[in-house]
Amino acid sequence: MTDHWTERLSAYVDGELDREERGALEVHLTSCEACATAVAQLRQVVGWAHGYEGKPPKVDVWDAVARGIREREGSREESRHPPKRSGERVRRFVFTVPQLLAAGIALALFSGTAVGVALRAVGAGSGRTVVTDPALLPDEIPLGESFDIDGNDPWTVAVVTQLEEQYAEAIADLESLLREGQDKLDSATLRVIEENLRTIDEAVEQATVALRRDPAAVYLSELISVNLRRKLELLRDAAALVASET
Amino acid sequence: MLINALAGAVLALATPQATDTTFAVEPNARLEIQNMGGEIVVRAWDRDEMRVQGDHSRRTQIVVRRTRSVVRLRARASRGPANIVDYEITVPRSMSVTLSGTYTDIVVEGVEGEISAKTVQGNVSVKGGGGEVYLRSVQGTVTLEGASGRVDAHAVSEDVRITNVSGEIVAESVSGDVLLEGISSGNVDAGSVSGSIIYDGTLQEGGQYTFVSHSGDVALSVPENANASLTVATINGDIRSRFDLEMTRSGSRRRPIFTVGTGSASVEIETFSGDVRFFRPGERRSRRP
Repeated sequence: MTDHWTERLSAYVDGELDREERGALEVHLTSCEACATAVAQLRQVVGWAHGYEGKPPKVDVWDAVARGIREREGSREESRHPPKRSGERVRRFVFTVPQLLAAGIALALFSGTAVGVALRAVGAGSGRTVVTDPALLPDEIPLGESFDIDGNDPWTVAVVTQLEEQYAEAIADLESLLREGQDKLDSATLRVIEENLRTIDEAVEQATVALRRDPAAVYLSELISVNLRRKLELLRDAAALVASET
Repeated sequence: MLINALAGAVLALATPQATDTTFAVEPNARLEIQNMGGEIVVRAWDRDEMRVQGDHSRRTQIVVRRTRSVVRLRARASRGPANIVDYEITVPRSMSVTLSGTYTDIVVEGVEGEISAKTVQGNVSVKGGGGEVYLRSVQGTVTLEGASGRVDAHAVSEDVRITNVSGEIVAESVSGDVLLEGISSGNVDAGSVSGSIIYDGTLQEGGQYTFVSHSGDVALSVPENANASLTVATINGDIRSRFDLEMTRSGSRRRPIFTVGTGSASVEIETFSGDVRFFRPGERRSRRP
């Protein structure tokens, strides 16, 4: 394998060679097993790195959430407002905070701002607080609404787990790719990537613990989702670096 | 004798070589440069010509490939990989540029076309740019000034600093701060994991603004004549304002909503353990939260 061709293999795989160079290299590949193997490996790595870009979350998450909403809403409505006569029950589109949390998490897979939209829907008119510097807001802001939730709501926990699982597969694959190719990265770059991945992991862990303690803090799901997305992007960038150094 | 000859050969290889060539280009063409190490500096002038200056070792050549729409520069070594090249390029003002490097600092000044600049170890500094402006660095600061268009600026370990920019903005860092000053935009999405966020700019009617940090502070300027709905969420942080602010609604626990004027613009602020600060335009210019 000559220096000249070694240097051009990555450009060839990326489709950056002009017709003349591409033709010459393809002729060379027919007689050079080392270069042909390197090209095959490069294509595999690039395929791995790029394969995640269009990988959508599993659509059935929303189906499960929607089904759960319908079932729970049905059972709660029946227990709170039992129908007076058969067939008289009026269907109401009312969502509890945990349901919006779960819906928000599912939607957050598609859009980072979805939870915010859902949250605006549950806003309730309440007190007026005036804040003037340097005074602080009180620790507990009085609210005009109450929350009928269970801190260990199994449905909430299940949906959070499902959210993590959606990202887990892609993250695990990219982490594996990074581990395999880490010797190709500059040690300072690798250290920065690892430190920042740890920063993101700690943020996800803190927000997850807080959300499980307080499922009413719906916006935490958005923080988790945003940071999982950042981790995925950083891993994807790292994988692309590995591919470019191969 | 032999030692002297070997030393002479090494010195000859290490002797810097200069490339300096000027040629005609289409003013709306795109310049593409990939540089393993060194510097890429791109400046603009009012001529339909491109000047390519480069400092590199003797065994490295700068190869120019041209079509009507693309001018591509690559460094090629006579043996082994091309090493460090310091490029200084002058292009027609309206040209677009796509620049990438590994151990490379990137500077772009005065270009009015689209700009894409990516590096791994190095800073990205851009003055100007229009249309799509896409900037990225893993180990370096990303700085943008005076652009107009759709901006997407990302850093990993260092800050993102954007000043006097108009248009849609996405700005993110993992552990660096995100500083946005002199901004005129109806759509801003800024985030960091452990860094702070400052926004000093317009809150336009019907605009959408999102500022999310996990452990950093968020500081937001609110012009006196603004019409905005400010939704704030923080788990362990404080909320402070340098002016009177009325909480008109509460979305949920620890998520107060402050309405200013008609509340037309939507501003979402979230931080897990950082503080949230509101101030008037210019009050915190060039100061961190």
